[in-house]
Amino acid sequence: MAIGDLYNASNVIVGQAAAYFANGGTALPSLSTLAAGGLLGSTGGWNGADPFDPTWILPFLVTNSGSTAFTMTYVRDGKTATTASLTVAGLTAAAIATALAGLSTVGGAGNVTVTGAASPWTVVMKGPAEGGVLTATGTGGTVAVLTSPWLPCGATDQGWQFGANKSTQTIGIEEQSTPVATTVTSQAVSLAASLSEDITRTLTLALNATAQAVAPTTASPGFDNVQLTDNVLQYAVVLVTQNPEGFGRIIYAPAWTQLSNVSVNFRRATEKRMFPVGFQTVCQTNLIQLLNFTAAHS
Amino acid sequence: MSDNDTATGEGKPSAPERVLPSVSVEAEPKTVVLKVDSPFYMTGAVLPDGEDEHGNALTLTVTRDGTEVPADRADELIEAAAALGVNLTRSE
Repeated sequence: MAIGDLYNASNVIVGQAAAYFANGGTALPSLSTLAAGGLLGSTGGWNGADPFDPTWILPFLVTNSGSTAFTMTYVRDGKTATTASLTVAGLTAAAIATALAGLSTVGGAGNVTVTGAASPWTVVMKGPAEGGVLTATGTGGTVAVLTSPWLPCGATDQGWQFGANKSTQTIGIEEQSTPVATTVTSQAVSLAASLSEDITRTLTLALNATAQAVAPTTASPGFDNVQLTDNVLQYAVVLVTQNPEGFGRIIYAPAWTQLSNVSVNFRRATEKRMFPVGFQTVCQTNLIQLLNFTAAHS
Repeated sequence: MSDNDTATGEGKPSAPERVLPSVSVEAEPKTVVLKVDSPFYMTGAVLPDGEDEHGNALTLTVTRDGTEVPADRADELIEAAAALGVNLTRSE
C-alpha cells in the first residue's frame, strides 16, 4: 500500500485517500479486466489488493508499429530524462521497467511497473513519479503512447475531506405538532484539501485557471502561462480510499467546480506552501457514485 | 469502311494529333489534427516553428480544440510538446 497506514478495530479505521482529476464529464475508468482496448484506465481493471495502485486510472499504453528499437522519454515537473535505446527483439516488460526505473524523473524500481509480454505494454508510474508525460521514439517505425485522461491531484497538507451537507425544510400542518414531511432544499457534496505540491498543476486547480505551455526558443525561456478566468471550469474528480475490509472505496462525480478562496503563505522556513481547494459537485445527485468494494474479481 | 480507315490510302486523312493542355495537379498536403489532451493544460501549447527571413522565432499553437498540422511534422510536434510535459493526441 502506497498511501497511509490503517488501523482496524471494530470497523474503526484510519487512513488516507488519493484524488485524481480529469476534464469535466470524463467517465470513471471501467472496473472490469475484460474492458481492455476502450478507455486506457480499464486495461488493468480494479486492483482489489491495493486501492492505491494507480494501474486502473493512470496507465500508459505503449504500442510498437514496426520499430526495431526505441527510446522512452519521461517528463515530469519540467524535468526530462530519456532511456537508452531498447531493442524490440526479445524485449521484456522487466527490461522496460528497469530502463524506466533508472530515469531521474522516475526515481527507482518502486515507482514504475510494466506489464505485457509484447507490444502493447502497459506502463504505470507510481507514487512520486505520477503525473508526467511519457513518449517514445522508434527506429524504423513508430511507437505510440496513449495516455490516461486522469491526473493526480498530488500531495496534501492534511489529507482529503469529503462532505455532503444538506439543507432541509420541515413541512408542518396546523393540525399536528410534529412535521408531516421533511424535504431536501439543497445539498452540497464537496471534496476539500490543501494541495502541497507547488507546481503548475496545483496552481491551475487552486485558481480556476487554464495553462498554456510555451516552449523555449533561442531568445525566450520556456514557461507555463497560467491564465486565471471567470469562466467556471469543470472537472471530473475521483477520490480513492480503503474500507475496513481492506478493499477500495471510490467516490466519483463527473462534474465538479473548484472556486474556493486561496490564501498562500510564502515562508522562509516555518511552513510549506499550501493551496486550498474545495471541489463542489455540479451534477445531478444520482450521477455521484460511491463504490464500496467487497471482493476482488473472481 | 470507316472514316479513318487509311489502309487503302483513301478516305479522310488522320486527324492532327491533339495536344492536351498540360495541367499540373499537385497533391494536397496531408494534414492531421493535433489536440492538447491534458486536464490542466486547458489552453494549449506554443511550440517553436522555425524562423522567418529576419531570424525571428516563429511559433505554432496547438489548442485543446485541435490544430491542423502537416502530417509529416506530427511526430516532431508531439515530441516537442512532450518535452514541455504536454500530451498531444492525433484527432480521429
